[in-house]
Amino acid sequence: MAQHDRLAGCLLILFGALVLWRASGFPSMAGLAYGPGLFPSIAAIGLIGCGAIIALGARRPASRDTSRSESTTGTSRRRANARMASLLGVVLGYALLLEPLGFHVASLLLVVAAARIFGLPWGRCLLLAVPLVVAVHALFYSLLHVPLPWGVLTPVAW
Amino acid sequence: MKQVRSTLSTATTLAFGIAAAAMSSTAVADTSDQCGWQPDRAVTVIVPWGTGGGTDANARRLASLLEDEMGVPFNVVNRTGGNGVVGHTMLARGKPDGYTIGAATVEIDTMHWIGLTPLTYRDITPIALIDRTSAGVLVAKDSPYASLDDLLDAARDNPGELTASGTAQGGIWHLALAGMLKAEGLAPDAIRWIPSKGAGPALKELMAGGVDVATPALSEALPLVEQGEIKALGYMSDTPMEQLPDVPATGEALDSGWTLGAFVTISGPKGLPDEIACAYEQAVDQAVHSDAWAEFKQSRGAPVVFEDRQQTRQTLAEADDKLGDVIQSIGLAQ
Amino acid sequence: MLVETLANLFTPEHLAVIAACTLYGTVVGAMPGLTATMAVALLVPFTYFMDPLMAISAIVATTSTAIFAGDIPGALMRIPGTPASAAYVEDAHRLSRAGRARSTLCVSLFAAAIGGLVGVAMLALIAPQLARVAMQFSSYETFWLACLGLSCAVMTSNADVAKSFASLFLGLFIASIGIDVAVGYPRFTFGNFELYDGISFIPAIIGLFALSEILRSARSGETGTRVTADQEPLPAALREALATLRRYKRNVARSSVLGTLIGALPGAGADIAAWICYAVSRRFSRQPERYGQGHVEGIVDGGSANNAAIGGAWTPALVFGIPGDSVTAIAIGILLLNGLTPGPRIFTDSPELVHTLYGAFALTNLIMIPAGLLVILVASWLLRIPRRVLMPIVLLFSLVGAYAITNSAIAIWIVLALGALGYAMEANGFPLAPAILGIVLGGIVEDNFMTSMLKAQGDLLAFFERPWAAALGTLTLLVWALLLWRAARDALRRRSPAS
Repeated sequence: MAQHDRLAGCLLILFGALVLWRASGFPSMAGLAYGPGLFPSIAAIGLIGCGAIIALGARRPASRDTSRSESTTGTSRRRANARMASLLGVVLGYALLLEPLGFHVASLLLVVAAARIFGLPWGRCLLLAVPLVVAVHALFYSLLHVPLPWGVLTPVAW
Repeated sequence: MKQVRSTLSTATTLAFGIAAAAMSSTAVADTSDQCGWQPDRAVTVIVPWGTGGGTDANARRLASLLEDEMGVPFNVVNRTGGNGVVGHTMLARGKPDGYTIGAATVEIDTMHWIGLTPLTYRDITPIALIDRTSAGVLVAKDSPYASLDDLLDAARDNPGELTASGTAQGGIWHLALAGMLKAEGLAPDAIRWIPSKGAGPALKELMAGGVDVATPALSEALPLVEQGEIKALGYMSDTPMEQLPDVPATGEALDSGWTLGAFVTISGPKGLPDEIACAYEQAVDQAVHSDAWAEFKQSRGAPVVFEDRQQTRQTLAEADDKLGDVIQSIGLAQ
Repeated sequence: MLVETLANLFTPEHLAVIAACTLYGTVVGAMPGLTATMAVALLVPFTYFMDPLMAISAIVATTSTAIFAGDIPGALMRIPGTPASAAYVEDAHRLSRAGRARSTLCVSLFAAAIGGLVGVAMLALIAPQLARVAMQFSSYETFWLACLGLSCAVMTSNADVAKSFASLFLGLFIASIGIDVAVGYPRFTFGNFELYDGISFIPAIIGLFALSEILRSARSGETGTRVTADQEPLPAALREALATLRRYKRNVARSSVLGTLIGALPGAGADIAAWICYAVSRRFSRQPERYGQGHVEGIVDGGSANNAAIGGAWTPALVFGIPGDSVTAIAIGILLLNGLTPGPRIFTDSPELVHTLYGAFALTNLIMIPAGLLVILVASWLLRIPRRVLMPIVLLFSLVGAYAITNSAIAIWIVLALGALGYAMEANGFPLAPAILGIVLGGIVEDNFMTSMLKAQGDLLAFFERPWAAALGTLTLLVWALLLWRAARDALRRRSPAS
C-alpha cells in the first residue's frame, strides 16, 4: 500500500508538471497577466502539492476499505488482472468499432465478449446479447430517438 | 450551461419573402421529377447550439413538420461547443446521403475568420434559410442612457469604461457591437466585451448590474423589453419593427447606417447530391409556408422568412465577405 | 379561482399526461446517460398538440421524477443517474449492499416528494421576491456560490485530506479541457475539435462510477454472486423509510428550504443544492463520522434538496422569462408558443396559468410516490440477477447512454479514459466525489472568475464590492479558514500522541 501511495504521488507530481508546462504556453487576456492558463495551472500546482504530500506520507497505511475481496495467490491475481485488462480492451474495441460496424454488430460483440469475461457460457452469452441489443435498439433508437449508427447494416436500416 | 443562441427573426424584407414564394412555387412545378428522393429511415438534424435556444426551437419545430411531411423521424441532436465549431464541423463532415442535415447558422461565416476552424460555408450544402434576426442594443431599466447617442457619447468620452455582453468572445453579437462602434468612428473596444454563454446569462448580467450594455438578438429579450424590465435603445436593422414602435432601427438612427443580422439555414454536409438537396428544399419550403410554422413564428414575434438554395448560398457568401471585413477591422482576425 | 384551478388540474387527460410523464421521467432518470434535459427536449413535439397547462405539467412531471430516479441506479449499482445524485451515492450504495436497497430508495422517494412540495410552496409564496434576489446575482456572486459548492467536496469527504484534494484538482483539470471562456483558446484538445466543448459530465460520471465499478467487479471474480442476497419486503421498507423521515424531519425541512433557495439562483441548480445540503447536513449532524459509510441522514438531505431545487429553478423563468437552465428555456418556448409571455405581468395577466402550474407541481410530486414505489419494486429485482449477467447489461446501457450525449464515439473514449482513472483512484484510496464535483463546478468557477476579472480589469477587491458578493465571499473564506484550522488541529493531534 505504501508503495502504491509513493507511486501515485509521483504520478500526480509528474502529471501536474506536464499540465503546468502545457498551460504556460497558453495566451493571456488583454491587459491582464493571466488567461486561459490560470485555472489549469492552479489545478496543476494543487496536484503537485497533493502528490508531494501523498508520496512523502506514504509510510502511514492509507485508510482503505478492506471489505472488498482481494485475491491472494499469484495466479488468481494474475487472472483477475487479465479479466480487468481484457474488459478495458473490449471497451476500447467498442470505441473503435461502434461507428464503422454500426451499433448492432458492435454491441452484440461487446455483450458477448463482456459476458465471456464474466464467465458466462457461450450459448447463454448469445441468449443474453441478442434480446438485449434488440431491447436497447427499441428503447434508445425507436422510443428515445437517439440516432444510433447503423454501420455495415445501413442497407437494411429503417 | 449550454450556449443558448437566439434565432428569432426580426427583420426581413417582405419583398424577399414574396420573391421566394414565387420562385419556389415554380420550382415545385418544374423539378418534381428530379426531386423525387425520399428518406426511408430516421434523419439526424444537427443543431450546433444548446437545447432551448432560438436555433434549437426553430430546428425542432421544423423537424416535427418535416417528420409529418416525409414520414420518417427527424431526430434533433444538439452538438454544442467551441462557439459553434463542433456542431458545424459534425454537419460538414456528415455522410452526404440525406440522412444528416443540420441548422447551420451565421457563425459558419465568422468562425474561420477568427481562426477557430478552417471550416467555411463552402464546406456545407445550403438547402434553405429559415430565420433572420438582428442584434438589439439593450440597457438596464435604471440605466442613465436614454438613447443610442447617449450611449455612444459616453463610450466616446470614456473609452473602456463601459462593458457589454451577449455571447462569447468573437461571437456574432460581439461583432455587432464592435462593428457598430467602429462604424460610428469609435475604437471597436470603446465598450469592453465581457464574454458570456449566450443571451440568457448576458441578460441576467445586465439586470444584475454586472454589465452596462447587452447586444444579444433582440428577439431573445423581447418579453423583457415589452414588460419594461430592460430598455431597448435600438436594434441593428434597417426595417422598423412593429412590436417596438418607439425603438429606432440603427439603419435609420445612426449616421453610418450600421446593421447586423444573424440567420439560421438548413444545410446538408458537403457534397450533398442535387436530387436530395432539392427534395429537402421543397419539403422545407412547404413546411415554412404552413400555418403551423406561421403560428410558431408569430409566437416568437418573428416574421416568416424563406430563401431557396441559390439565395441561401448567396446570403452565406455575402455575409462571409461582410463579416470578414468587420472582423478584420476590429482586429479579431487571426 | 381555486375551483377553476382544481377543475383545470383534475381533468382525466391532465391526470393521464402527468402519470405518463412520471413513468417516462423515472425510466429516463434511472438510465445512466439520459438526462432530464434530453427527456424534456423529446417531449417538445408532443407539446405542440397540448394546451399550455398540460405541456407545462408534462415538463414538470418529467423533470421532477427524473431527478428522483437518478437515485435508483446510484443506490443499486453505485452509478448516479444524474450529477444531482452523486453527492450521496456512496451512502446509498453501501446501504443497498447491506440489503437495505428498498428502504433507502423509499427514503429518497419521500424526501424527493417533500422537497418538491416545499419547493412549489415557496415558489407560490415568494417567487417574485426570490426572483428579485436571484436577479442581483452577477458573475461575482455566482463565482462565490460555486466556490462554496466546491468546498463541500472536501468538507464531506472521509478520505485522506491530501487525496481528497488531489481528486478535486483532477476534476478541476478535467473541467478546464476545451475552449476557454475568456479568449476562446482550445486547451488540451490536441487538435480534436470534438473536445472543444470539454468533457461533458455525463460520460465523465459514467466512466468514473459505472465503468470503474464494472472493472472492479471483473477483477474481484465474484461473478456468480448477486449484488445483495436479501431483499426487504416492501411494507417493512416503507415503515422503515417513514420512521427515518420522522427521525430526520428537521433535516428534511432545512434542506427543502435551502434547496429551493439555491435552485432559484442563476448558475446553481439541483447539483449544487444537493452537495451543499449534504455538506451542511454533515456539519450539523450528531454523527458526522458515519457520512459516506452508509448513513441515511445525508440521503434525506440531498434527496430533498435536489427536488426542491427544481421548483426554485422556475422562479427566474416565470418572473422574468430568463431561463435558469435548458429545461426552463424549453418551457418558456412552449409558453410563448401558446401566446403567454413569462415575466412580471404573467401573474396578473394569466393567474390561472400560474396557479395551475403550481398545482401541477404539487400533483406531480404526489403521483411520483406510487409511480416511484412501483419502479423501486421492479428495479430492486435487478439485484437478484447474477453479476455475470447484470454487468454486461449495465456496460451496454452505460456506453449507449454516454453515446446518446454526444452522438459520437468520443463519449466512449471519455468513458474509457475516466473509467480507468476512476478504478485506479479508488484502488489507491482516492475518493471519486470531489473529482465529480470538480468537473461539474470547475467550469462555473472559472467562467465566472474570468468574466469578473475582465469586468473589474484585474481588481480582486471587486469580488467583495457588491452586497451579496461580499456576504457569500466572506462565508466562503470562513469555511476555508475552518477547513484549514481543522486540518491543522488534526495534524497536531496526530503528532502529539506519537511524541
